[in-house]
Amino acid sequence: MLRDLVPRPDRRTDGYLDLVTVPAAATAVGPADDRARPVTSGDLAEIAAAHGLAEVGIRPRLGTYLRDLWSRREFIGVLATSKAYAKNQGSYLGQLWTAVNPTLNALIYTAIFGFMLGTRRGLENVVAFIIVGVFTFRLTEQSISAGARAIDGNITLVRSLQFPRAVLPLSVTLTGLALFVPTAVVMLAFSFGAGFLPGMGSVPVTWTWLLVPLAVALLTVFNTGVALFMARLASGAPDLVNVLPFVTRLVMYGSGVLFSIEHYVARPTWLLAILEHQPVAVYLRLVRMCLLDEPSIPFDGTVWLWAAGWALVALVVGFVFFWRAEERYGRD
Amino acid sequence: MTDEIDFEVDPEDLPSRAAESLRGSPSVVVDDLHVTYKVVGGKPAPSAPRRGWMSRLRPGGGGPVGAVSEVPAVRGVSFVAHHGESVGIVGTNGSGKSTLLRAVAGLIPPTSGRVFHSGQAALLGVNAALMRGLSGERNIMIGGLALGLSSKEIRERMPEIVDFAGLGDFVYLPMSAYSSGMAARLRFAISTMARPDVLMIDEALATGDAAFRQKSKQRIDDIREHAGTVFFVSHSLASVGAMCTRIIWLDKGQIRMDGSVDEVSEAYRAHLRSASASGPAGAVLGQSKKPAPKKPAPKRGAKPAAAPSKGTAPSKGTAT
Repeated sequence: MLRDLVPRPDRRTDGYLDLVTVPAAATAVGPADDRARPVTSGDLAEIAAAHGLAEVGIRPRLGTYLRDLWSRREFIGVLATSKAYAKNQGSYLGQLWTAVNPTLNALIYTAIFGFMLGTRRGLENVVAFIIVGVFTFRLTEQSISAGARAIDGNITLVRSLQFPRAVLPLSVTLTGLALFVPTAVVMLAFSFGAGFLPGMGSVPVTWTWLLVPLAVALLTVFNTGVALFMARLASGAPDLVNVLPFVTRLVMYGSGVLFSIEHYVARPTWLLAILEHQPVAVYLRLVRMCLLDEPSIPFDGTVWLWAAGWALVALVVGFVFFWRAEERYGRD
Repeated sequence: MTDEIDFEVDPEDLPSRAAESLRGSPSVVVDDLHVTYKVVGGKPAPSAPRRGWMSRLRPGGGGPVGAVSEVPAVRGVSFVAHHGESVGIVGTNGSGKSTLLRAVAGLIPPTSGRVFHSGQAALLGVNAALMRGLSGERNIMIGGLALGLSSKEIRERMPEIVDFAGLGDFVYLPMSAYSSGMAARLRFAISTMARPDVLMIDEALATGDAAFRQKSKQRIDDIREHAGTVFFVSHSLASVGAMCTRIIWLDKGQIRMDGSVDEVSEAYRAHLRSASASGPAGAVLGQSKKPAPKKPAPKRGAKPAAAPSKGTAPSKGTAT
């Protein structure tokens, strides 16, 4: 490195490096001497190293990246709440929509499954079952679709400022969670209310309702991993957004959002085992067993273990997968 | 790439010369930078050979399915910029100025080549809108946090920033309600909030009025005095001449000339005169059917800026 700082005889004609080493001496800023020995790529790298310049656009190590991300935690929070707020901006009811929208949804499910369709689907209270299922599933569905749009949807931000890109999928999940809070209140109220419908089993408020926030927290960890995973997957593949609705629909039917899986899929047993232990079904079961009084969904400690395990796996896999392409986000 | 609009600065608004300050050690090193855009959904140029409909439906076949064009925007650029320097980048539309700026800022990953710099870079451009649906206040908060400031610091400096941008009560309205001048001023205020080591300005100053240009000039000088480096993209030689101590002239993604303000602006002006006499020139895109060449440009052997290179870039002698 030092030899670049000291002009040597064989480099006398190299105006370029002289400029670098004796900056104040030169009035012409660009390389002026056409007879200059060409400065090679190695020289430039050495100049950079000699002056302590860091290479731009290379992926930081995982530990550095995590620290970076931690120092931007405020950014994640503000981005998430701002996005949640902006979602319902520009309508007269404004933020009231975060509560009105799920209420209307819940009313429709109550009307259809409580009064119009006579099916019980092997359940004590099909209305509460479906309301809990749909609203909980929405949270994951939102993470999948919003995660896929996390980079492309914020491309102006990505191309204007430098920050760890994982901020974007993380804030997307938090936005979903922020919007879920009013939804959850509606969900609890309608589940309880569904207990008074004619011909439906009651939905008593028990101590297990207190565990719902914990279940949602585990689900959020899982959703974070999913959002990170989807963000990388979709950032290089714009076509994926067209396929996603079909994927989420498949997941919805494969997870028993609207019906009990075991009631419809009795055989083969291996298929039932897979369907019951895949993550989305696990989280649905988790929330339902805390809220509902269904004999077919007894309170079961192993479900918590499954839920925690899936959350951990999703987060680690999603985060590492996202981080490994960190330097590539923002290119067309 | 951004939409490039020809903003013209009234030369009388600006001092005729940027103050020459002492140039420090290197702050930005760009080493044989190439940026190639992949554009999905383009149609093949009519000049391309026609293929049968079967092959056109195949992805990459150049038909309505899977059409991918490659646009080499920056093709082998090398230079060294220094602390306290203000570098103007000029060139005609589509010469790769904005792309170069973004790649140097680390916001667009290079296709090949490397960029080094000494710390935080901030870019402000005409299209670098933050979040249009959110209020100016929220945008200041988001921008500041993204630059690494704490929310406490930002809240403390909020009045100063709002004042600098001249927003008044508009700061509580969504940015979509702002005039383009207001938005540009806000972006400038946000980008310079953290006094970045490397500030990149993409035509942004041209949108402000004379008073704001004066204020922003002061702020740029302030950044340079604190050993920062400023890059400044513009079509207007008047504003480049006023703001910069050095000019890089880009032509079709390569450096055509790199030198002092007088030298380069004279050559560039001469080039523009001859170009307007001979009519517009078209650009040719690479089609993705061909395997993307790793270095689409004629090999330049990673020479620095204006080192003489065979054939591609006429050196000063021919330009002036």
